[in-house]
Amino acid sequence: MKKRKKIFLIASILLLIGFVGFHGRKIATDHVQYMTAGEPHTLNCFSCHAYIVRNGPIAKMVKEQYLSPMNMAVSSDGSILYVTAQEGNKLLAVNTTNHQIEYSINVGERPHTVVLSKNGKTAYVSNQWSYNIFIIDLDKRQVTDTLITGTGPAGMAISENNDYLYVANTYSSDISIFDLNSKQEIRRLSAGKDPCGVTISPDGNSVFVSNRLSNKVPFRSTPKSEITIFGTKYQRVTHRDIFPSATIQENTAITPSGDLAIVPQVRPKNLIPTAQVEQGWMMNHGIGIIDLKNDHKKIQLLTDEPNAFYADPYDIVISPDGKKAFISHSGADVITVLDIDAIRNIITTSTDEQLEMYSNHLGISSQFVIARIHTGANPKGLVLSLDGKILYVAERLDDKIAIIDTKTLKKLESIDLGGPGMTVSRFGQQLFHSSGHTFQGQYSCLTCHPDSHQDGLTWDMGPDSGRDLANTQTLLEIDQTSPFKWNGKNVSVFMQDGMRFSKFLTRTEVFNQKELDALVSYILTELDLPPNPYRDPSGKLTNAQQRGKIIYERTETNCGRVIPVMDRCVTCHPAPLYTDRRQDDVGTRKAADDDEVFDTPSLNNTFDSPPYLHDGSAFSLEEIWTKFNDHDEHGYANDMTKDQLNDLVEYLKSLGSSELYTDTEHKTTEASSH
Amino acid sequence: MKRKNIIYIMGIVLAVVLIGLFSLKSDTEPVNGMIIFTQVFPGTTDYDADKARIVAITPENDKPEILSEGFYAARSPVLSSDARYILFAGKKTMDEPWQIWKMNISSNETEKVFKCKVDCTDPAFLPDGQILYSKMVNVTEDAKGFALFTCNSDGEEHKQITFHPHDDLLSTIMQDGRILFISKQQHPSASTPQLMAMRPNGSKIRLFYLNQNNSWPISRGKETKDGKMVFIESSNANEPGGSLVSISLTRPLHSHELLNNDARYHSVYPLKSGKMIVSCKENNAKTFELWEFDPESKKREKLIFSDPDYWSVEPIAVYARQRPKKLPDELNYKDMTGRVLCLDANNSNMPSLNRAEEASKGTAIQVMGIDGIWGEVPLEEDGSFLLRVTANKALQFRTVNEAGEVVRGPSAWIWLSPHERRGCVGCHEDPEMTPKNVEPMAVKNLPVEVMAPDTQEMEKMNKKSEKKG
Amino acid sequence: MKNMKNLLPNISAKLTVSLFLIGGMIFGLSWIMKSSTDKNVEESNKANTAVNVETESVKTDGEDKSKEAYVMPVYDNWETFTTKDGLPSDKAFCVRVDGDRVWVGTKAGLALYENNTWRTFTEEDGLVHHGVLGIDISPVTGDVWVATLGGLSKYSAGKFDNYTQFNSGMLNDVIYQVTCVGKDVWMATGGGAGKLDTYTGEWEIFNEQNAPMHEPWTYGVTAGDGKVYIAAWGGGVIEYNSSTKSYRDYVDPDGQMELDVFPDDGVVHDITSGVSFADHILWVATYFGLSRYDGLHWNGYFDHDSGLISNFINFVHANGPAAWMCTDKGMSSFDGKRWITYTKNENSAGGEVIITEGDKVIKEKVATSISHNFVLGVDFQDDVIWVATSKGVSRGVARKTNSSTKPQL
Repeated sequence: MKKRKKIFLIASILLLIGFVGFHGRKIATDHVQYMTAGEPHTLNCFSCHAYIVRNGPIAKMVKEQYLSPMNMAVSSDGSILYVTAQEGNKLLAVNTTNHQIEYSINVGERPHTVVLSKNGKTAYVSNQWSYNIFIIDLDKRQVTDTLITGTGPAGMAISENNDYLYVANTYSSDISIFDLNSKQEIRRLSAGKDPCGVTISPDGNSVFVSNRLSNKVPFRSTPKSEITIFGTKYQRVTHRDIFPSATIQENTAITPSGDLAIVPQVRPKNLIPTAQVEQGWMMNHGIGIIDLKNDHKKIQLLTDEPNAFYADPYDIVISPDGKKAFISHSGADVITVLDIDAIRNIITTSTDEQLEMYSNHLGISSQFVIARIHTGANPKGLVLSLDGKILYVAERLDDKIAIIDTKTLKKLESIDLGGPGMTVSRFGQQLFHSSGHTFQGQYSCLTCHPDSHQDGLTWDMGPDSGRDLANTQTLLEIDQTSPFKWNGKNVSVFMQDGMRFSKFLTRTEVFNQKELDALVSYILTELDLPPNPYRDPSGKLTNAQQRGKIIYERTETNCGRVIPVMDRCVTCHPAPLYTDRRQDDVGTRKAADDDEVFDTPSLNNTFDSPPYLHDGSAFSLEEIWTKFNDHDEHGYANDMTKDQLNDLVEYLKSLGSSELYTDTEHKTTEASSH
Repeated sequence: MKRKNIIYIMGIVLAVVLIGLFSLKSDTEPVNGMIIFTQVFPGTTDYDADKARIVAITPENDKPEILSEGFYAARSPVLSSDARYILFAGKKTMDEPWQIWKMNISSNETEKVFKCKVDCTDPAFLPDGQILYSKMVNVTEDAKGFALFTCNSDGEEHKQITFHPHDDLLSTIMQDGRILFISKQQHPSASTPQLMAMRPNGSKIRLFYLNQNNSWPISRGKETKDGKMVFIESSNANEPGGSLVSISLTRPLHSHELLNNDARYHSVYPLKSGKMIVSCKENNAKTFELWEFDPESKKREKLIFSDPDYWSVEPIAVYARQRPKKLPDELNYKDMTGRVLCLDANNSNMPSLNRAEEASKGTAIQVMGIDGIWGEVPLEEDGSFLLRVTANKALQFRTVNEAGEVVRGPSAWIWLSPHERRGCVGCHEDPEMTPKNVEPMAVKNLPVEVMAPDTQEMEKMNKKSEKKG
Repeated sequence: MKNMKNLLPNISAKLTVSLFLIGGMIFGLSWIMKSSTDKNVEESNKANTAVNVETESVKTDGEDKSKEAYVMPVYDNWETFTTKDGLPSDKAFCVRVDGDRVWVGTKAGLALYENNTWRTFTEEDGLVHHGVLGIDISPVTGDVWVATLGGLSKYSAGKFDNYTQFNSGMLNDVIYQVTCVGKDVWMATGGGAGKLDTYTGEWEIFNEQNAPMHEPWTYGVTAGDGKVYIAAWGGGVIEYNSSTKSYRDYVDPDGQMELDVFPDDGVVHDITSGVSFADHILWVATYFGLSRYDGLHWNGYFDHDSGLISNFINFVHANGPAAWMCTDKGMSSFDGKRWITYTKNENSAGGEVIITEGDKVIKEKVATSISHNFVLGVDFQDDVIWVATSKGVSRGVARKTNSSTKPQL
């Protein structure tokens, strides 16, 4: 018996060694190759069986709750730094002397910005995924009231007299104005697309709202992003200052003298074939300047250099003396310091022709950039101490706050907020937000996927110039929707982000296996869709949505004829993913398309992903059928009345992801408050 | 479980571990602190370098140890990122052409990487393990020059990667993965050497640095930790050495800084400390010596080595450095054409050859090879053009107006690698201009094919162009 | 009986009217067919040249301007604006006051009068269509909503956002009137009435499918006291209660197309051309007379039995307790007792002011008058009245209403 035990033991160990060492290894390798369909992937069972599992016990074991400091405000006496912990769902009060967290307050989902009342006793926190504002009594350290906003409240500002709160609603693209005495929303102004930052002019008469994405423009024409300006007297929009070929305008700063408004911006090259990255052919970064004393003249200057790019500019602050501006480049882990007098000099001494030329000149930055200060991972919100001597930087993906001396322009130290250790997906999150893996640091994944979603642009990414134009797709909750890419040729994210990614997109060294595992883990397990405001958390549909659902699922035309199975909405877009994960020709192919079939996209939160179709040629859901479905190939629709089409659109807008993920139920609950 | 069983299991596990350990490739550690350099007889120039030798000194022994024992001449050493190996150019006999050799620093074992019938020199380690070198070729029918080649570490699969009528020498690999080299036009006339950068597969060739004040680079560029490229620049071809200068990697064309010209500098190598070793010869001295140089104070601080009988040049401080990035190779060697897109051929830094402003706008683009005109293609209204051209052949562009008169050009020589896609903002445009984000009209159509014609067709084109004047 | 007397002349008149209306519909439909696909690009090419004066618009509909005894003003000192002054076309369909600014919708574009100069907006500027039929100002945001023959435009600080039946839930691109009610924008279109919730972007459609209408064609929409009133072609007036989401329709009780058999029994005709609500009174314009509804009683008014200058009413605009009727023969105003009508002489700039109260009528020759008798729109700017006609836009100033200036009857 004992002998048999020994033999069994030895045999099984030898078998194990044999399996791993010899033929078994081949079987395992073949399995990995088949599943990832990428370049040879090292044999690591965890890559697929632990790192990319969204739910379940393994996911619970490997997941951590990070803080991710986003934006900050300094108390009136400068002793406390209030920090929104975007992923920790907290407001942190950090002592600026001993660098300890004095206390924290639980807030809503994805807190974005904190602003303080003039007397410093009240904090207002925008909960971007709860679609509300928490009013916090800082003496009692508790939430005392809630203001319901539009969707995706982000940047905020309080009027000089403390009577009004101005809130940029990123997802609903509007601006809520609250009367802080009655705590009522008294107006909602339309903004550009994806408003984010809110700034009041030094004289208190105007409010500047920066918009991240371009307004709607004709297909394949220059994107135009807006700075929405409204007066504080009548609270009406007075200016919509447009910057051509600019996106991701997150925040604006105005000089103390009130002569210039400066907004960091990404300068995409989406209309030009992506033939190369050299010479800034894919993405530039710079500032947009509104000359407020010169009839709102617009000037654009690049902050990049010929061989160095500073990706994903986010925040900007100006020193109290108006001499220096600080911009956080969240993709490059750099703070760029600008000499504002040098910028004024360029504006006043240059002709309009020269300024036009400078707007695309990579050398101009040498005239006004005075320093590049390196920071921790993903620098986001900036705030200056009251005397302007210290610049605080939210090192979002390090869970730290950097302290920078604004005189020596050196980083002194970082305040560690005490986030957990590094997980695989957190490492992936850092890679996703870093431009270090593109040639010359020209862009990060986030540059084209703000909030991991989409930039609303159509890119000329095809192997031949001017062909196979591709509309940027969202990365939110794609883990069950393979294959990827509009033509569905990438069967896994490992393949999508592997060697092909390196050859045709990043144009630099391919991710190593550790990096690739981490990036895929982050993309497949951490990216959730925001709550769908058109969807009741109970799943109850409105009357229009119910009528739309009947049309979505119909099998007969209005005349009673049977609709062929392949011409029904539900055939290619079945719940819960609303995609059959196949590629089809639905009559949307254009002359410039070499691909004959296109991947069927998921329809979850489709209301929030215009433009539509593979090339972004449909500006709205309606246009999919009113302009691009002449022969009913993209669903039988030409028999519908306008009422029916509207009902169908209302139903499509309600499609969300709550059936898929139990952990997102809270989001829909929050959404219901809206 | 009984103790015996545990012993059994431990024994098996130990055996497995031992097998694993033995199967690992053993290797040597880098020799830190060593300085390797070349010694040449006074007065010999770099490329005959008669009886030049590669030597090494260490902190323990400042008497040079000859590493190139048994070579008639050896020079141009470069260090691998892991500081274990050097590549160098060497010849065993006087009549043998320069060959590329590899040496294990700690064991002094040398091996010829491959056999070359003509001079092969200035090797460099590419990040993917390949080897880069300059080889003498016919750049035109009647002119010789060095072109850049790559091969595998075993000396197989040689690929020529530069195809313009230039002399391409003294390559270095930048941390971003690109090759930086000194390139001097040979045809139709000799021009000032300049620094050019390109990807290791020969694609995306671009001007990196050109001195406007009649000086030119004469040494390999060396990248410093603070993002600069240091090298030697000369304005006198008859005197060895020159000035020590640096340029910023982020803006190389407009960041020239003179570090020192109080002596004749020959070569430079950054130290781990941030300081540098320079090879220089003071004005009244007879020999090139090795000095420690402080880039902060811009002064030589300490003499490291001096030999009255030899010039000591091309120093290398032996320490491991970060490997440059491995750039991916997107080329398709089955497609021997490349595509070039120009956004506006009339966007140029070149002065117009036509006085009248009206006439200074080009309406067509001419593609010219070394032997004549390949073809002429009308420009789109916005000045854009999209061409598919023969790969791996030198070509230039020039714009012509409706009257067939040359408006601007010819441009600098370029070539397209197999299946390369290359974009230009203009023709000889300001290299710091980035494209305007406007869809070029040329991409609305498929690329126009302009292939290198055979001789007969070329003659026709030449006659046609002569008539146009 | 008095109606019977006028039966014969009315028949021929009403036949002509019907033909005109059918022509109007065909004209409208032709614009839908014409509407270019480029119109739905919601972007102003001149967005950076915003009209950037921050002004407070004064929305008069539904406002009780003063509690003191109301005296309907007489307007005088008329000034006329035409293409010579900078209007894109003399054919003005509508006029809307926006604080210090005045917007005019014409056949050839949208015109803005500001700082004594006219500025024009057309498709080139981002306007969805140049045929502008209606204008309203959002009381919440100050945005200008423009109803055109090719869709709806929102103008905000230099930017046009356009809504058409191709790119949005807009039910029909022929839009006759637009009315802002809080955050909602209501429109009367050739395919029914529609509502856009500017907060959620949700569209609601009101047509013969879901509302008590005979035809989807609607000409006017107004709101007040929590209700929305829609002038529906052939369907009289549809009342929609926003809180209960319930409907009530008001049609001509006698159902007669040619005559009003029983006076004051309801809306005078099912073919309604406009509605306007103010001071708790609903005014209904038809091509066959005027109706007034105070929530309890209906009153009908005709050219032959009142001071109304013509039964053919293009547009009605209520301002306080009075209403201004824009007709094919001039403009009449009525405060419940007194009528004041403005007409223009054929061959001179002068005209006539006709004041009627009961059987008493005074006619006053005036040196200046409205620029044409075919009147299509009217709005008020403090003591100034703006009138849109088929030959230019007129601006009149209210006489001081004291005992000396008030006309004695």
